[in-house]
Amino acid sequence: MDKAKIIDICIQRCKRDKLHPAWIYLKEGESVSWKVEKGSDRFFSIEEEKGISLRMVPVNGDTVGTYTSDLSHNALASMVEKLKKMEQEKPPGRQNRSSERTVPHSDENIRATSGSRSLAIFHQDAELIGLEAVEHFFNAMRQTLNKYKKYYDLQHSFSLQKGVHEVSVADTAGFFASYRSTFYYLVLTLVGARSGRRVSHWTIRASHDFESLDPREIAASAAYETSVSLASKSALSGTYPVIYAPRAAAEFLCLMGPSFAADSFFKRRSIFSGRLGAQIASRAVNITDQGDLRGGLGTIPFDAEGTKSKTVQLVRNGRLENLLYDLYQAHRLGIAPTGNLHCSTYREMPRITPLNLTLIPGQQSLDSMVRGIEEGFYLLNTVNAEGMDLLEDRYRIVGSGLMIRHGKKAEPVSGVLLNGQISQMLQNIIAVGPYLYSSALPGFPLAPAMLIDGITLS
Amino acid sequence: MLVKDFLAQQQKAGAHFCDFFAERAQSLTAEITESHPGIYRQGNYHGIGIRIFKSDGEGYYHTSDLTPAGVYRLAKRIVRNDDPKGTLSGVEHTPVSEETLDFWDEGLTEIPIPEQILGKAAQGAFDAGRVLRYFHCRVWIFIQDVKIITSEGFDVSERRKYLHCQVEASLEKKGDRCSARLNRGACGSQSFNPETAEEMGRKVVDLAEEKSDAISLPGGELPVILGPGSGALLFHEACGHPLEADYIQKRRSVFADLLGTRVASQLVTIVDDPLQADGGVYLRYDDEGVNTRKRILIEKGYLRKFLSDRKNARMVSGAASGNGRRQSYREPPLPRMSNLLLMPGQTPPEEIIKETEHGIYAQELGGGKIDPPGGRFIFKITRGYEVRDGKIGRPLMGMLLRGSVRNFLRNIDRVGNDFRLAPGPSFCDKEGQRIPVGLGQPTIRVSSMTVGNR
Repeated sequence: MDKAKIIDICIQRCKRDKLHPAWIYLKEGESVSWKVEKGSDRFFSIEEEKGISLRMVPVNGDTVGTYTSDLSHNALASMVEKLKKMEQEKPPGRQNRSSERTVPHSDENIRATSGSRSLAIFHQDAELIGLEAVEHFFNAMRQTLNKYKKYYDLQHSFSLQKGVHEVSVADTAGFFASYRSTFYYLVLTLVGARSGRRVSHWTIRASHDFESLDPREIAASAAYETSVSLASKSALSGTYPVIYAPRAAAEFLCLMGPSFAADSFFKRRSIFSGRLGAQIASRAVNITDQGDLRGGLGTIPFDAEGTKSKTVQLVRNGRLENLLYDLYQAHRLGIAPTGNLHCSTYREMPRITPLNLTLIPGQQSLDSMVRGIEEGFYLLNTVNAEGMDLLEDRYRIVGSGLMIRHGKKAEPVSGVLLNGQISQMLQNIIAVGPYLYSSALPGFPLAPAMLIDGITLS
Repeated sequence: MLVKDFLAQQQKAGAHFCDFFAERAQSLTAEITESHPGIYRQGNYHGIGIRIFKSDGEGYYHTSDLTPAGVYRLAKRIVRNDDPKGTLSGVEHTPVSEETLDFWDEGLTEIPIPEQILGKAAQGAFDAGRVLRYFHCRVWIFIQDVKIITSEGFDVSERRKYLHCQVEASLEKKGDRCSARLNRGACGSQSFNPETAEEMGRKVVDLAEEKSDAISLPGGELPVILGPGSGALLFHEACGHPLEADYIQKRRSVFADLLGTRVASQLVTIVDDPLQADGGVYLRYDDEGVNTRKRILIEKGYLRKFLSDRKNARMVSGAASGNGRRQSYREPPLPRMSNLLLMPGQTPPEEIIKETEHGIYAQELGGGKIDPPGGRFIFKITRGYEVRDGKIGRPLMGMLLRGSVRNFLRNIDRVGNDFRLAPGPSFCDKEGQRIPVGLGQPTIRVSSMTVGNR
């Protein structure tokens, strides 16, 4: 059955059962993966997956949803039947239930135009990237890594995945659109050993096209970061300025991302809850969510409700200006949704998620940040000990990097515990670097280097 | 084409082993946040995965399209990947039926919304009019049917059931935000009654309140007592993962080359027991169709066995230990734990506490990280207390445990007689695959560990 017919069956059934408004999310994908470990240990995989989900936000604001990977007529009918049953039998659950009105479909101003479109430039079938190209790519990485083996013992494994997927979204008001996207994921795992010490290091890169993955650059930076992690343990103790390398800054942004979602904000799960309009960071901080960023890894033309993606200025000069909204949260406040209701598979309930969350670059170069520090730390790699506790406003990670002494990068150190209050750290961001790093972390955050003063290190 | 015929055909074409894994799963998730609308979701997925080992590597192929045409297309891709001109013997045309192939002994089950569990958890939390900043309860029910056929003739089926309940609360007291989270659950035929949820709701708020009175201790080297049950998370991460045969085979474990040698205090005996009736998981077969049984991994301090799947067993220890597990048909199996248990010793827990002049009692551990090659770990104590003059004292805030696996195992100087299983399944992530696991241990004491508060 083709996707139009699958969606039509669901829509007609929903209409017949008065399940309105309802949204349908259909995802079809295939991918091919290669993995090489210990030289000759090879793994090859082909994946095909299709599935559909159905979702309603009925009268009292509760969300009900069903999903299935079985796209036969009977299974689709049964999925709609199940939704109807859940809609009718939701439990009381708790006191103080909301008495919201039904959420309407989005209007023409914010809704994407029906029809299909391509997202990335390359749309070959998943198999078209050949083994030869992959071998060539892995060999280039291997050659680069071999250069580092004279400094320390280094084992490696590589995996490369190419995925092509097509997402279709439809609703009971007649919207039906789809987009197609291609992704490459590279995972490089290194295990370094020196003087009886062993550490592992993971690098994950994503791209819409194979050519922009540079095997030599990826291997060289991973080998360098591994060598830093092999450094002796830090004896640091006290409060220091810390420069976050762009990758570490992107991780920081990624952990903070859920706090910008309106549902987290209103459920008081966000560190920003109750602070819309307030100065939540220093004036150096400007953050946008750019679901429509041209060529961005997280870019999608519309979300799981058919709302057009757009750029939202969340933080301007340190002031929290806006949040990310789906139709329900936007409807409650009488404002427009931002197109951030997202899911990565039909098996997940869509959630308000940042896409291409970006810490806007500043003017100060990394060298100039380093020059201004008498004694501090340059954070390169992080190991997530606790990460961020958004309920308790606490940040704790373990990392490795370089000491900064008298305005210069000095010896590498590892096992540094960085500890702070997230809200205070945001206020202490002194400077933001000029070059963005595009990360393969969830939501694909982008960040330049940043300098935070007063972080407790131990 | 019959699965067994296809696997035989692959063996004729040079595969030394192949297997077929079919899965059908149903899930229900229900969650509420106080005074905000809830989310209720259920559904099902199915799929098959075919794994083929040849001398030049391993291939894994899977699809969710279980119509005859979808399965035929997958088989064709497997054959053509090996030989571009290869054909599927016995099948000349792509089948056109829209019917889904059925591999299952039992039909789908109706999963009712766990109304009472959600209601009781909220009732427990808001009991006595307590004011919370945040309250959240999430219940996840998962029923998985698997069928495994291998080229060695195994043909097994199993139904697995899990329920997981998480309750989280946060409040503001004395200007601080204090939060707590509790996880409980059940697997197989174990029951989970709503009263447990009510107790969880009450307790999670008590724990959050307790945190507002918590103190910080200066960091340093201190004796650490790990409470029974959930304390075993440290053994799971710091000891269980480095015992997995893929890490051993790739020499990415602190235990590589140490089989038969002393790696821990003689008080330490660790087993992996998939057949533990009250454990977080219950598995008669692993995801490669291998019969499971209790395995002694460390016996009185000596390393006896690794956790292995078929692939790594040949290179590490000979026979698979029945620990090949996977999240779903979408992933090939990896060596994983089931119920990792530290066996009880002789000492009453009260005596262990009484013998400790100054130290830390860690009742529950939270997120942690281990680097298997280096063996260094860091864990957060989510519920901990000071121990002073042989007594449990004030609650502690934000303490971390850091150390190396070898020192941790060698410094265990007391093992209690109060063995307890952590209630319900916990979740373990490895290489992007999340599976349920079980934990259990008695009270133990580590004579010295690095404790930090910042």
